[in-house]
Amino acid sequence: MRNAIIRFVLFALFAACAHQQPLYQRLGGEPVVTAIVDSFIERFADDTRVAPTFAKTDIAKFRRLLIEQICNLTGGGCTYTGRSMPSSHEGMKITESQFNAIVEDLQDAMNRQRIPIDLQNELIATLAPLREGIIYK
Amino acid sequence: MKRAVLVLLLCASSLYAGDGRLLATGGATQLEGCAGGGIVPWAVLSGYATEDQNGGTAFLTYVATGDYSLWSAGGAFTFHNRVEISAAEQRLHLGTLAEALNLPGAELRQQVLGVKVKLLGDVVYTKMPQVSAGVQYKRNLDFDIPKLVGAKSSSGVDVYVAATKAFLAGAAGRHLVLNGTLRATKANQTGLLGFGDDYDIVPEVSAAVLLNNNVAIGAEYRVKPDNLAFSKEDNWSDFFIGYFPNKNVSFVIAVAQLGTIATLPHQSGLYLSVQGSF
Repeated sequence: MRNAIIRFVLFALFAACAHQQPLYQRLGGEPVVTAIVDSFIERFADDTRVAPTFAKTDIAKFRRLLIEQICNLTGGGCTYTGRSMPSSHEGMKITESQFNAIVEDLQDAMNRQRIPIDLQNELIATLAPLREGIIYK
Repeated sequence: MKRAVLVLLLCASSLYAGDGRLLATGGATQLEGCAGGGIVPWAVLSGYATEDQNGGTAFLTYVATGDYSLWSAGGAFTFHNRVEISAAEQRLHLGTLAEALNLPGAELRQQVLGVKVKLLGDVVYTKMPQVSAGVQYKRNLDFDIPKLVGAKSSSGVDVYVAATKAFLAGAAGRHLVLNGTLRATKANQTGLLGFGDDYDIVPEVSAAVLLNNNVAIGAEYRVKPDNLAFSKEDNWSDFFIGYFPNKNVSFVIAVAQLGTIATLPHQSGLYLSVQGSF
């Protein structure tokens, strides 16, 4: 535990000094983001808490748009060509619990892809503001 | 009480859970029974229930300073992530002091009933912190000793406002949680040494960093009134490690610095807490 704390402090100092590339590049660019999204879709297709809500979703399209959107939001330079969050979730009535379930599925997917915890957290922080446009629509 | 809590802890793991919130967002259970850190109430509500669920926690906490030991046990229940009710019983074994007073086995017991209401915000998702207000009604069950050393009343009500915010990836890519609490209290040593006539308003703060999704480290500081003439009362602090393996159970190990308690100085020691959520 002491080692973990020392590593954390050193890392904090390093992170504060280092010039940061966009998150998209630090995650590993297109192949890694694609792998995360694929793992994520696989995970939540099996997740009984949320799967029924996505029964009518065109998964191929959802996959393409999600990769695009993550690329766009993490500084990868893509243009997101999908609809706004409130419009694309209209009528799905996604609850607060379901939104958190999706966050957990994404965390699982990132763990499965061995994404370091700091990058995982940055991606979560980047996507968290979308919640307002997604729940209870 | 301890046995009841253990039974609750066991049941908790098998019951259907109000489990919609993210791991660790229910915090630990604070000594006085509500959701918080170890010694400070936070704005988060106990358990993992979202606004369309109900859920709660049961806890058992043990603190040993060498001269004293304290058990605290109880539970809390949260309705719709809006209102939390809690109950706890604390037992302070007087140890060294009991021997000095020729009262072997002497202990001070206190019951705490709490209500906390979430007023604003969400600890994780809103720009503003989650803000809650609460009351803790405290009743000292062994008032003879507190009365002897100058306490005026065997019961009292603490009122507090707490603001808690998680800064996602806020500290070198780790989630950072900050909490500030303002408490109005008449209590001496949280009420274990009874209550005075006048309110003091005291600040309490906490900071924690989630090293990963399951482990948090942090520190707390609680300013305390100092109203009894017979002994100084010091501010409290602790350093903690919290382990949240899943949404059913969590553990806290801490080192608590409790200062002078009833004339015995330098009381510090291990703080251990287990919490079951359902």
